[in-house]
Amino acid sequence: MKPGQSALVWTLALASVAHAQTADSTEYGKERSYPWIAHSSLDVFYLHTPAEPGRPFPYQASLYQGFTIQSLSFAWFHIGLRSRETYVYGFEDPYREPMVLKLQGSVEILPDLAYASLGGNIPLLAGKLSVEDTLPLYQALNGYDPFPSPDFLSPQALQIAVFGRYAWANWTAMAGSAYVRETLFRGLPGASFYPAAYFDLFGRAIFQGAAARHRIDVRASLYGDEENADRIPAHLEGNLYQLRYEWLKSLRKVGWQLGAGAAGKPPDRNRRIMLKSDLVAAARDENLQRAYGEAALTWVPSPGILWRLHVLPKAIFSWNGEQSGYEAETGISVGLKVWEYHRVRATGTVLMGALDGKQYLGFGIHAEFAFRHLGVQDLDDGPEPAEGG
Amino acid sequence: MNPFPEARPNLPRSAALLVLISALWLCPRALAKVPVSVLGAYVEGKDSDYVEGLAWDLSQALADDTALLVFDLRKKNAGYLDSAHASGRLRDPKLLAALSGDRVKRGLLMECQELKEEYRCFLEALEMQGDGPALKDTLHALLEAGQKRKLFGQAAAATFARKLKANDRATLPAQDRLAVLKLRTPARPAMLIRGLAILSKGSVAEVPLGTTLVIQDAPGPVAVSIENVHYLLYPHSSYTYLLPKVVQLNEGTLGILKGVDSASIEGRLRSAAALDQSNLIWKTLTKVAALDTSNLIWKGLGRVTSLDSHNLILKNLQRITSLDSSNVLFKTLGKAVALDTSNLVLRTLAQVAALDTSNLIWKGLGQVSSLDSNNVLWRKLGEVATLDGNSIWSKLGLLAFQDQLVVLTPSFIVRGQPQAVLLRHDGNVSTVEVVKGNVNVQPLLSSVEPATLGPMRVARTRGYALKLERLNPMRADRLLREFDDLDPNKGSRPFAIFLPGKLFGAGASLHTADRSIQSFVAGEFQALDMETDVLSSEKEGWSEFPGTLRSGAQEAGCYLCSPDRLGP
Repeated sequence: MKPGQSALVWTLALASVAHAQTADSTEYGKERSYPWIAHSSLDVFYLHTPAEPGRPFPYQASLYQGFTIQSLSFAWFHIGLRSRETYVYGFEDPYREPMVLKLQGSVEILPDLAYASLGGNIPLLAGKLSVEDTLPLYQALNGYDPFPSPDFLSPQALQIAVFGRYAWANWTAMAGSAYVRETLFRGLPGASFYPAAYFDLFGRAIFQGAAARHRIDVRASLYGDEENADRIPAHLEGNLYQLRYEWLKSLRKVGWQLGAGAAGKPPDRNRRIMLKSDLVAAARDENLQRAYGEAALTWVPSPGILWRLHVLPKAIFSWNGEQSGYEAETGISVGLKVWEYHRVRATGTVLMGALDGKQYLGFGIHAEFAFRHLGVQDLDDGPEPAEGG
Repeated sequence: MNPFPEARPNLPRSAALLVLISALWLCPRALAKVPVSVLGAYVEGKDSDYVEGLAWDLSQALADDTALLVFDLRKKNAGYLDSAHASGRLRDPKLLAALSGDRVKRGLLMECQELKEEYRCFLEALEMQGDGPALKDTLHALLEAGQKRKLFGQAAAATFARKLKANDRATLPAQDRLAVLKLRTPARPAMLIRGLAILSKGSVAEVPLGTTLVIQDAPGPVAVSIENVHYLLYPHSSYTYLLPKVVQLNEGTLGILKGVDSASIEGRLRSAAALDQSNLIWKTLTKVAALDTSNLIWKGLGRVTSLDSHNLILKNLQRITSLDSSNVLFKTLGKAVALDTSNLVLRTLAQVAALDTSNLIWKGLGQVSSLDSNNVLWRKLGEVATLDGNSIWSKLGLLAFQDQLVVLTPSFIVRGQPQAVLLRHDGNVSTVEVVKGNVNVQPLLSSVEPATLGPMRVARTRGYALKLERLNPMRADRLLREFDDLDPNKGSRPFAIFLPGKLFGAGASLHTADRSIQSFVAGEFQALDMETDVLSSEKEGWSEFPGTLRSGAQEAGCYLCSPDRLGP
């Protein structure tokens, strides 16, 4: 059975299980419905600078169709379809992934306390690269890349995660861990490889103070080896450690979000190369470190419309001092209610940056429409905090 | 009479014995009363007389709560306590232990700051035996509290009691979780008040029973839907949610618009949440009964809850009616009604009513009443209403049991079946403009008989005489246009309800997991390039900023893409 067919079967099975389950209907009557959201989003990013004469400008365009449904009282599911096209300098043709299926399911193990999730990527129509494209691909995927999705390869992958949540007085704490295993990436003919598996540990603490909400995020991503097609470890990805603090406040028609964070990534370690003489250690691959700020101002002039301005300044550098630069993203967003329940959102961004003597200037747009069916509900208005805040 | 003991219950010995035996017989939980005492109630800008009086009022209000046993440590130690407070030694565990003498478990301390628009009071229930942790809470009260000492004390007592009980049972009292009206869009700016306590300011999305909603300079009216009736709440207005279908308009304007027929899909959508609760009524009653075990009404109903028959409920109610006037049930009920509207019994009755008008209690009561209009139960309840000199209660009578919509203003009471009605209260004058429907209007301050108003009529009163007029057709037209614009059914009807299939079924949705954990899960799956939606009707948020706190595949480079690693 092809992956697409299996997904279809899986979806149908879910639907039939959902239809058959009667625990809630017995208790609450036949009118209980399944909350669901269907959304479509479009992202386009175009890099105007640096320009290379005679070549098209690099760009990335992506389309996502997603459907999330709570079809059991304790579980919810997501199915998504990603199409993306990326062009970086040096490619013969844009790299296209016409159809990548995303499946995910989450269950509430202990109500309000413990959750588990399983999800993955299934490239249905995967992209292909030629050997000539490998150098630009290498350059695009290593080091700095201003694209919204710098790692635009979508290998088959599976993620399993457990989450916990505990709320006490004004505090809410959440923690989780996830393991992601990616399978063979066959986009490069003759040079298939296994991207690094990784283990994620993450935590979030939210404190609702009298004046504002405070949120702290920590995350540690521990990477395994990247392996060649014969599963020979060739390269150990440096781990990634991240920390972020957010200050969120909403007052009548205006909301503020201020934050700061940092992401540190120790160097990658390459496989030792066997020479005739003694083993010689390969050079280390220095990774880029990031420290950033977040600021957003939200304004709700009327219940049906919401505006948001955001600025994300970012310092980028390497520990050995060879690379240093910055990136600053500025954006304006608008959110609209459509037929009361549904949402249209659009964001326009301008990205400026400089690294290694190169200047970057890019423009992006993101637009999405969410068709929401959440049963009887009371929609809230006003400045919206960042999710989870 | 001193309602709380100084050092031991100040009751005649025989009465004390009777109470003790009754308590033991009624419920063992009666023994679990928490012994407390007010150590002080200090308000910035107020003199010692006020402080002393407020401490007394607070104690009295606490003494009304049957779950607490209130001692008066201030009677002999007021001077010492005030001095200790002034010198900052009041929280000294040794001092507290010496004061309590093994009798008092919690010492209650209230310290209020006078702010620009409110009093902010820090409430502490100190552990008197040993140095255990104090229970802390904050009460925001209107500045009016400075002049209304007794109400101030009651507001503080309610907060203390809630905190003490919440700590005792590790849950909020049932009445605080039930019968909450949800506004379709939050009122902003607005204020929610219970008595003198400010429950919330700014944006108000929920109105619990017994609270007053004050809408300030809001951009436009907001709608509240109860079953198929829409209340349109206007700016610069104040409303008190007394009982389901009973609203008090304190000042300003209130529109009432009857919605679509309850048998339609839209009607079912609106009432689905209430229907769902019908099985929980008895559970709720049992829980409420457990809150105040000495209350005989709930004791009786609690027994009923163990049965599951419509006839048995009636039997119980009829048994009640056969009791004589000295029956303790009616005494208890009378005592309860004499208390304020935040009283447990009234609130509970209202909450039960809020669950579903077709529930068994109301059906049962309805049948009892239809059996005999001079039924003893109704007469007794009528008597209870007259116990309180407040004319509102006597006018209200048993309206809560009727299938009518009731609006009270300081000048009149309006009841009936309105379809499109606008009410105003400005100064002393209350006005009702009936565009569609029929209502009865009765001034509250005189003995004028109620007048029936049909469509296109206006009634106006200061509380005494009633002036009836025709409604100007132009005015009626304008009102209907305004109502049409505000009709929640028009703006909010999602076209999904017109589509067939189970997935588009009307009614309440399945339980969804906590929004914050869903977004947390969604954030983690962003690493797999997924855009998972968060299923929740709570306030939604923007997704995380792209480019920050990213991990996983987004951050793993492609080492093997390196050209020197390619090839054979």
